[in-house]
Amino acid sequence: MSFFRVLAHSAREKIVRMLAEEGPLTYKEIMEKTGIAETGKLNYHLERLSGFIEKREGVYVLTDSGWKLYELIKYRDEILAGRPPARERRRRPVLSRIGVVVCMCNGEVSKVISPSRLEEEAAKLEGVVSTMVFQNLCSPVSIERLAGWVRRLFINRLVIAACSPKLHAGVYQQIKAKVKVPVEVVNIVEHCAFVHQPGDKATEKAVAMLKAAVKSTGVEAYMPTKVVAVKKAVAVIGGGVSGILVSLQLAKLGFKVYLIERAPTIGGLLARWSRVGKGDCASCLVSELASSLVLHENVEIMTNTEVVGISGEVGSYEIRLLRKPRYVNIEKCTGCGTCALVCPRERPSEFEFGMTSRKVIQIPYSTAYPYAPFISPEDIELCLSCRKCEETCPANAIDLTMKEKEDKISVGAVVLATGGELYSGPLLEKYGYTLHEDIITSAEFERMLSLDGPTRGEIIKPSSGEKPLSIGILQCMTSKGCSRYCCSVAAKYLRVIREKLPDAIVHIIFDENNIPRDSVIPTEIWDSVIIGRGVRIRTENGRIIVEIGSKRVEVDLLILNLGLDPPSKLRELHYMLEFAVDERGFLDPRSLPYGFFACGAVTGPKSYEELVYESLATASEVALILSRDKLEVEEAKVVVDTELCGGCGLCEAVCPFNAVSRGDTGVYVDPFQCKGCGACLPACPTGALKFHQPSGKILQMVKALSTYDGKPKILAFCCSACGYPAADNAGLRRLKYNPNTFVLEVTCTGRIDSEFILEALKRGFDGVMIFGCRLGSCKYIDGIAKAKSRVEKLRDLLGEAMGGRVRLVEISAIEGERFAREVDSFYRELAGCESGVRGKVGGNPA
Amino acid sequence: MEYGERWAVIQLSGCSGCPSAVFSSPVLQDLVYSMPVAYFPMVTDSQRVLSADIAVVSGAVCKRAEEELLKRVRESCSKLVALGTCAVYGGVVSREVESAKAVPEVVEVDQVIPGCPPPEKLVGEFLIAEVSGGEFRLPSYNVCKECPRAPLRRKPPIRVRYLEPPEELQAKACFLDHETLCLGPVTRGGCGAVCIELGVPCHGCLGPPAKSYTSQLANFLSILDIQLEKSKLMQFVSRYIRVGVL
Repeated sequence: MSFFRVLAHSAREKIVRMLAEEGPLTYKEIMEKTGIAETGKLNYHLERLSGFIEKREGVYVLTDSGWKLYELIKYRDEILAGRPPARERRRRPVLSRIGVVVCMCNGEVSKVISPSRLEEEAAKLEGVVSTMVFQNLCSPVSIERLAGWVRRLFINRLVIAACSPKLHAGVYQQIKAKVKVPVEVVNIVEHCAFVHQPGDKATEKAVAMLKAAVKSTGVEAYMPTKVVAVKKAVAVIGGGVSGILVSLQLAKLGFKVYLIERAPTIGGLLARWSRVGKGDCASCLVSELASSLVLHENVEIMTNTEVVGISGEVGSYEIRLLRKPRYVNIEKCTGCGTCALVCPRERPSEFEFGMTSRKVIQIPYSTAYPYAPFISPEDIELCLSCRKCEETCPANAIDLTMKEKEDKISVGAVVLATGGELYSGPLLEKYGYTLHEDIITSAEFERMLSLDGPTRGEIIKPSSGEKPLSIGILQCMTSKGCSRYCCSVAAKYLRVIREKLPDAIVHIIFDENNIPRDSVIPTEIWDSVIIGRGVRIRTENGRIIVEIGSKRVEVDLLILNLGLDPPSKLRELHYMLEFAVDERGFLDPRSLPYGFFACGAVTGPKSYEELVYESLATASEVALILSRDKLEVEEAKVVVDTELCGGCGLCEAVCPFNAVSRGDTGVYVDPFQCKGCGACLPACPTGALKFHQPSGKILQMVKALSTYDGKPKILAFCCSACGYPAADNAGLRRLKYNPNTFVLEVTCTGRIDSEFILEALKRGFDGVMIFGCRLGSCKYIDGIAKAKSRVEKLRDLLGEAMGGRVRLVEISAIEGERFAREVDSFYRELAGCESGVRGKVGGNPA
Repeated sequence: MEYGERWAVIQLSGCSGCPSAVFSSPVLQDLVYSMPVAYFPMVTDSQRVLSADIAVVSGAVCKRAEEELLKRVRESCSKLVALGTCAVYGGVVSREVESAKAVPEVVEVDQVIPGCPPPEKLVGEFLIAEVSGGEFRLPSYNVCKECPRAPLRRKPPIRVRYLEPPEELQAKACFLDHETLCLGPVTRGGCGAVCIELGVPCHGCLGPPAKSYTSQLANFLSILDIQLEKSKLMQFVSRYIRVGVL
């Protein structure tokens, strides 16, 4: 019987409803509930319902069809109530209306590539509705014209053949904002016109590149977005001078600021310095800044606090904090210092770099904020057996039983201002730091110069307390590269020494064995500069002798000038956030996720003036986000299709950021942890992962590029962090290489599926190259190692001859010359192989 | 009685495991009246292959005569199904016979059902779908989904030292967690992981669920830290499907 015929009578509908909602019912119960008094009538309806209900052990129950009937009733109710139930909307294929734009870069391109040929070939391609040639696409007038053209012709996909989207990101951003359709960029400038000669097959190459881009627009990228309500608060991690400056600025702009500092006091390194560059008193400056910060109602200062986790997305981050115990209640403490007076135990003072001693309970310096004593957690066992301070404290502020506790804050943006760390490596030992009491570090010298320091600002020899007559400053105490810091510090010292000890001779000493290759030594500003190879320090009758080759200088005081290194805790943050570090280990601010900013020495040493300007700039960047109420953000970078997923866990195993986890409901990708490298995609055997650069798109491009006619031809997969910029660099330097080479950008070399390589070889590419970051500086930690291992395994499976056609090169973004050289040498090998001159293709040179 | 489309079950080079899988399928006795058999040497006296509508071909193509037969079958039958790993990928036959080809390498096929032998579940589902006009689709997940063992717990390097599970293996843990190579992750599901249930790691007879076999293997093996002789490894992974072909 049909569903609708059953529902024709309200009594029957009622019976179905009752059985579904109340469970099995007896004949009598049905009679009572429906109000049908006559058995004949009820029997008739029950008869009509046969197939939908059945009698089992004296009660009526719904059959499978009965349940379907009930579903139908519910749907009908929903529709009548004006809430149409969610239905799978049938997706129709989108009609592609592709527009192709070619930019001539003011004639730079047309010297090598024929624009009319490009236009003509593009017009032949399926889906292309119109083409346009610009002399100069980056001018605002051209962008306006382009946007008008897109609107007029209902173009819904745009392919632009122009310059590198990496080097000219700003222009493309403007274009995307104006045209509001997906844009595909073909780099015919740096990857074609700049690197080939007019007589070459450059035009053919450009045509193939354009074809591939047009074809790939058919594969839709998966990129869901969502709207986030912006939290009007910001977390500033690090309470050094740059953290204070940026906090102050943001508080003035009206945002809630959480200043998070690991140490018990704020102020960082500068609070311990004597003067800032131009001569102001550093501790006065810091205390002034700190006090204006404290007074501001929008600021909450959290000392003794560490960041243990970050989750969420731009506009709404949640930061998990660990608040370590101080053992002193700041609210109750009056700062009288009685506790330190009664404390019986002493330690070398960290604040004075060990030059004096301090009590276990201490206020480190007179301008410290918060001005309250603290006990470091490692000493607490000792204190629990003494408790003198607890007994003496007049304010009852000391609580030795304090425990660490977790805390959570919600913010819209985060500023990293963790600062730098002074060098403390093996060079100190090498240059005799432990040899003589009068060999000191620049940090100790700073304290010596400070008016509140151990010598009250007097420059003395620590061994005897006398004034030194000759002072040596040994430069470049740094672990990697020029610190760009100690030269300016030396200049400052020179000024101060001349002021305090006008008769003293100062020698600035450089050891050539130790001078970093990239350093610039401003020799003209100093009177006595000694540069030589192999500086040796030794002592003779209590005097310090500095020997450089045949030169020999005696000094009374030797200062080892420390450079600034990246903070050692940067590594921990590196696991929480994705960012790259530069060759010296400092944070590269460009690599931070949207919503995160870096300020101060965490990105490299800076002068105080630079810090001021940088903090202002950072504050305005943060304000750009926080001043908006809503933001549209990417929902996730990788999404799992549960239908296809078998739950093998290989994606979890390979994820460098621990973003993948498996639970009862299947595999889950944490959208915050995920940095979008795509390393999980090759690992997934079932293709269950969706990504913004789908495999289908890459395969489509490989197929289209393979139509290029030329032998031997090479496909170069380039990672977006190093490989692609290296190819751009070759273009910028106009280095010529063979035109039978195609560059295909991938997010990371770890994302290169063996399938892509096999497809390329199958489709007639003679060689496949992989250009990725150098191991150790890979943006996605170990993408290049994954690619390497994959290529090795592929060689094993394919055998010698075929496996030799795949080559992996580690490269930096600036090595354009090497890019051209590697491509050409591989080309020659393949060509030799082709004509049988050289026999087989060799393996990886690395 | 209404007659359906006529069937032919053809065996090329190989064992007779795949036609047996059809013959022994529990659904066959219910469907036998709806699927008149034109050619099925295991069941009936042979009539003519070419009078069938649906051809189910198992085994690999080794001889010229087989190739010609296959081409004629393709022309006369509206539907051609490659059944079993030999027919789909070359299987164990291609390991022994250098020139052996899989059916899709010779003619176009409408459906493939891999497996050595093809799993009862897939054969049954296919027969029902074919007779009732429904749609049959191979599972696109991997063996891990049906695996009775606990999921993989290790993080790289996932060391692999054995091809056969060591004796002290825990009954419930993943083979890969016990340094034993199992091709389950890169193999299509649908078999119910019967081998694994019996304590034998997956040898990958159903082939890859997506991508090509060689690329799957390269991706998978690159995650593992393999401490096995190369020849033994190659023998293991190329038991059912040839590797190294583009």
